[in-house]
Amino acid sequence: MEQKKADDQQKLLQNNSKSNFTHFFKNPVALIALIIVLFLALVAVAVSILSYYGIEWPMNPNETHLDARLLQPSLEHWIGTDHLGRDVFSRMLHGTVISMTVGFTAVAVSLSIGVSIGAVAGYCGGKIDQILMRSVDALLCFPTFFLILTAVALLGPSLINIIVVIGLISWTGTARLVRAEFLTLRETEYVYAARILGQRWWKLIIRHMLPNAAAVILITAILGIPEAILAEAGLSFLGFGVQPPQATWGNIIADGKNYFLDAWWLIFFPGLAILMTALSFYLLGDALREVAE
Amino acid sequence: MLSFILHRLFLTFFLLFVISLISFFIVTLTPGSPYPWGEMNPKISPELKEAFRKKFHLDRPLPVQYYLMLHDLFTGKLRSMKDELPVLRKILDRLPASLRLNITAMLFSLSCGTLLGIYGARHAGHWHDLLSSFLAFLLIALPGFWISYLVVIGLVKHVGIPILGTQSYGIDFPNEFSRWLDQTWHLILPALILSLGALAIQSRYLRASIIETLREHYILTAHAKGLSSSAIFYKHALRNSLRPLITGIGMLLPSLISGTVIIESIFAYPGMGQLGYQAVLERDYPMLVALNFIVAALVLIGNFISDLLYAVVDPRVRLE
Amino acid sequence: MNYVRSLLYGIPLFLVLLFVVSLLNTASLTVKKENEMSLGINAEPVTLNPIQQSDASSALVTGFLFNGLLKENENLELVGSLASEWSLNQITTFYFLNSLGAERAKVILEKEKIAHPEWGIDTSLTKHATQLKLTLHEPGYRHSESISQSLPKESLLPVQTVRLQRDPKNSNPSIFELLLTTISEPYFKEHLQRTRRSDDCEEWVFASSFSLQNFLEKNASHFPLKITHQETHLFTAEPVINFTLRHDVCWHDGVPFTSADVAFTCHAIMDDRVASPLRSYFELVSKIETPDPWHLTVHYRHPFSPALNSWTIPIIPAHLLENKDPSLWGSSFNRHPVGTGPFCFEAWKSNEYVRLKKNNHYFLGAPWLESIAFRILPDPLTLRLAFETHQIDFWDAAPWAIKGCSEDRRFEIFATPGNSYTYVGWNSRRPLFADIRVRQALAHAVNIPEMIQYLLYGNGVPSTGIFTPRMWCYNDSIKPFSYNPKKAAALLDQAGWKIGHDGIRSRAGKRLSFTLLTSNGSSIGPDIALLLQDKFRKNGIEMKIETYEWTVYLKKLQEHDFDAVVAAWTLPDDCDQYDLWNSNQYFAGGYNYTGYNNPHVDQLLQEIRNEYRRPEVICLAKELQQTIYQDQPYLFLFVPKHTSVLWKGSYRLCYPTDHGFVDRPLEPCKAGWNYNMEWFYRKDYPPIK
Repeated sequence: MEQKKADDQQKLLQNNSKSNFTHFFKNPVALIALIIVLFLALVAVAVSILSYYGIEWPMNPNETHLDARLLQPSLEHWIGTDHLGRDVFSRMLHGTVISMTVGFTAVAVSLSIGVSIGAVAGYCGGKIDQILMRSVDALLCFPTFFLILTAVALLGPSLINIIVVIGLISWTGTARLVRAEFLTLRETEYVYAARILGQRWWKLIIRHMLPNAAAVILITAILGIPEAILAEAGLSFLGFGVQPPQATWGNIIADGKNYFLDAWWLIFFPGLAILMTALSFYLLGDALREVAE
Repeated sequence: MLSFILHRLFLTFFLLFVISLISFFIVTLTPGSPYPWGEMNPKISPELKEAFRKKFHLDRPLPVQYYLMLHDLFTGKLRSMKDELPVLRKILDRLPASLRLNITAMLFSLSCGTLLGIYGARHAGHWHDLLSSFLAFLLIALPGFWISYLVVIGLVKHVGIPILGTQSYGIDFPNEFSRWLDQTWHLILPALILSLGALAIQSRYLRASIIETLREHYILTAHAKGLSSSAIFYKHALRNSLRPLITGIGMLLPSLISGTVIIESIFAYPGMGQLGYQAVLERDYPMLVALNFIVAALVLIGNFISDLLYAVVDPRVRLE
Repeated sequence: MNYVRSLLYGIPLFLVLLFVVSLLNTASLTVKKENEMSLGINAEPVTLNPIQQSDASSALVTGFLFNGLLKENENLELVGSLASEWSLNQITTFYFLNSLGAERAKVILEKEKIAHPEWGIDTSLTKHATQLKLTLHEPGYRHSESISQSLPKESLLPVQTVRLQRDPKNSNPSIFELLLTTISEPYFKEHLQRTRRSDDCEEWVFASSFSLQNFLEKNASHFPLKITHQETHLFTAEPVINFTLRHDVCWHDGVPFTSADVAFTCHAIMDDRVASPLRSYFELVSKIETPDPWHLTVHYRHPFSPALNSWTIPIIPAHLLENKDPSLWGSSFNRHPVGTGPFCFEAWKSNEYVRLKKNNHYFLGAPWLESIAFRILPDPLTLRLAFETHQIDFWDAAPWAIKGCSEDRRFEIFATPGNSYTYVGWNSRRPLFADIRVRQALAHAVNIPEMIQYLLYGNGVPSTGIFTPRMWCYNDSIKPFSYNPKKAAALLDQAGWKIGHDGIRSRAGKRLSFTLLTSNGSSIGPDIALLLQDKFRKNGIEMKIETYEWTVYLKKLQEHDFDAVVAAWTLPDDCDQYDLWNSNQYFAGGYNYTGYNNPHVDQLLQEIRNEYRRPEVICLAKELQQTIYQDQPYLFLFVPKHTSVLWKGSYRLCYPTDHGFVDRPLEPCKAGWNYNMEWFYRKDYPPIK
């Protein structure tokens, strides 16, 4: 038991040494995933910058061409057009921006809530821990759908509200993980020493314990992004997504599902994009987790 | 042991009421009204709306409504606002189909997930592991509705095999076994798609858990003692890594209602997910109160069962 | 240890085996060849009790199970169904101060009757004490008014109709009785008719020159009642419909159909416990008499011509329901209905199908089909798939698929103009839309034919107002507003809206900007919104779009919390639109939610309700449509065509007429291609005549 504790402490006090990094880069899957993620982020940034200056490439995603509806993928429209004649490829580029935004921001929201609650629960332990964890359990009992519906109906279906809603629903996993980490960290000698020295509890949490839990938090974050993206796609599919004419991958699928038998590309390509994005993030997060262990 | 059970039961009931109260308020405070007629039907008079409100206690204050609905729920008199049928009966009508779907999905995900996890854990670090990891993440990232549409359209249109509903329609079955097989076919495909995500997640957790168990000192001892690696694996390591699987079983019960809406609608499979979704859209408050209650009860029971199973599987766990 | 391993490998293996075996089994099954028609519906029927239902799926099923006294024929004219004959007349009653006055009036009228045959006074006049009752051939106010002109005014008592509303917080329910015992006016009490409309509202009809309004104002502290509606005539006019019922009709369980069933149906509809949506059709019925099992007389309180159409409602069996509490109907009759129609109920498997089988004792003869099945398929994609794989026989095609289907030679397409129209409603209480020039400019700014071409793929016609081309009162001489952006610009300039530097018009510092509400439950609403936004922007009008969930959207409409809204009306076949356009229907939950207020229109709406003769109604309705269209309280967009696709040659129609059976292929007619659907037959099962 003692030995195990010492081992854990050793692990925690270790920095990410050089060997870990090279191990990461040797993993081909992780590399590819990293490249894809970086590429998507680059695309998102590029598209936002271009549209800020009013440049739309390859075409304006919101311009309707009613004489060019439901066209097949061709040289002119790389992924065809939708039921209002809008170029699907341009819409998917703009959708990347939204998906990335939703992914990162929703995760930020859920992280801030989850980390705070998990940290407090893990640090305090005992009664407070019990109460907090039971509340977490209770929250899991709510059918998520009601919460989404209520929030969207009360607040209106804008991008911000959807991000907040997704963040509010997904913090429980983070809270659990952070709590487990903190419970372990609490027993380490250096934390014990800091407590004796009279450090205030919030400084203890922020300065000492959080950085050591950083690895776990980072990985949870990366694994949470695809969940947020999938959640947004599901919400759009059910009709609770962002307002027209903004394009998100989920929106394109939702709009296109009625036309599936005549225009399969409306569902196929955005679905594929969601799949590849989510997959890349998952693989990246998993590779990082390997490194951290 | 007894005190543990009593303690948990008490906590469970308390939580149950708190949850149902909160969700009741959330649902009724959502804008939108529950009238079952086409709202924009010019022939519906205001007097009729008044009579409806009176019948379902909508003119009383909210806490009174909550109490009345709970009272009706427990005496079995609770009626749906949509068609005045007893709510419990409507739920029980759909329960067998939902149960079949979810239990089949659970069997799939537990068994295949375990196999995949074991496979990955045993060959940790080699290309087998990479392959199984990749497969697992692929399954998690797959959007359920996307694959469902592709499968349905592919099967029905291009291959010509019926898949919608619980049974092929208009068929002359040669015998009962054939009918049962047909029903199984209609059940297996949606169950399979439902199970994909859970399968992958189970496999990841199990793999991580097994790898960690394999680092324990007693495993090293067993090797030193000369046991074969598969004996070590199945006899010692596996048993001690079952914790995440049990968590998975616990979380299964509530997914009876919430996780299946889209797939049920695409496969035209009548389950409780569709019931809940329709009830929310139509603001059928009695149905929602009943479903909320049932879901909450199932989650808490699931937690309780998994806690008990933890104790069974791992004697180090003490029930407080 | 071994069993753990075997279990672990065994379960997935077993499941895979099961998968393969069941797949092979299903693939090898053959479809049963049956004489059955399959229809696809996208929602489960709520109830199969026709007087409690309000959704389309239920109505579709009960259409085959039940009959009404009357029905519509191919040209949407009323003909008898369970009733073999019917006739209309009216009892007009005059009230006099004393018996002498009544006697004198009787003498006068006996003479005038001969001089004015057009009044149609039927039998001899009857005098009861101070009342004089006439029976007229024609219902309506017209003749009764001319008759009253010829009577001496001094002894004639005006008949007042008042609606009294009590404040539920300030008074108790017995205040109406209290009021009655207080007022001592003899004629008020003698000729009084009271109807309770709800707990807080009663309608009183009395013959007296006593002014209830003055009395209430003077005694406001004792009787806190409000008069919400007041009408005065010099007589009471009670239309009467006489039905002669068929002798050869039986219910599906063999019991004969009689007038007692009709009387029971009416009383059930008026019963609070039944909560029937059809109640408003029968609120004006004062009395139903059943002199014998095959004759029925219905008395109405005052002329109301839409009442005639209401007799197409299905009749429910008295012998099964009259002694049962309505709250028990839900689990018994409503799931196992018994009617008089061409098909009987057989089975209802929740969320899968409803099946009906043929009624061999149908009074017009047994239908050719053995059974009809309604398959419940909520997802529109699966509905279409089911049609293409022959699992259902007809499909209501979505507009974008119609072109593909019309080119496919295996299919046959029927497109009939529908009963609904889509519009943009302007909230008339918002200052922006108060100016008619702005509304007309907005109408000229949109290109509706283009919208029809692109959103409906050409399957629709521009709407020219409140009636659709299918209706018999439709005014086909109205020209729709043309797409004329220049004219729109001119009108807006005239109204003072000049183009600002950002391309949007403004006037006195306020920009021409508003928000359009649409619902994500509608498939076409958001698309219309986008097209409109585009066109308006080109004319300097900024329109923002807000999409809400269906129930939230409805709530906003009813609370009048909107600038503009995209919506659609689905109309019944009669042309009574009082509830939609009368200015007194602008309250929370009322259907005149845009707040349209035109006294001339109010008058026309009331006249349509009073007029029984169809040619006159058509005149009034045409004027109504023209007036409202010019006023543009809505931007009337289009009337979608209702398109159905079927497998070519799969069905034919053979239906009974007075001259025997007519056998023909399916064709569209005014009532739709599926008129007389119960007489369809499949090619492989031709009718045996």
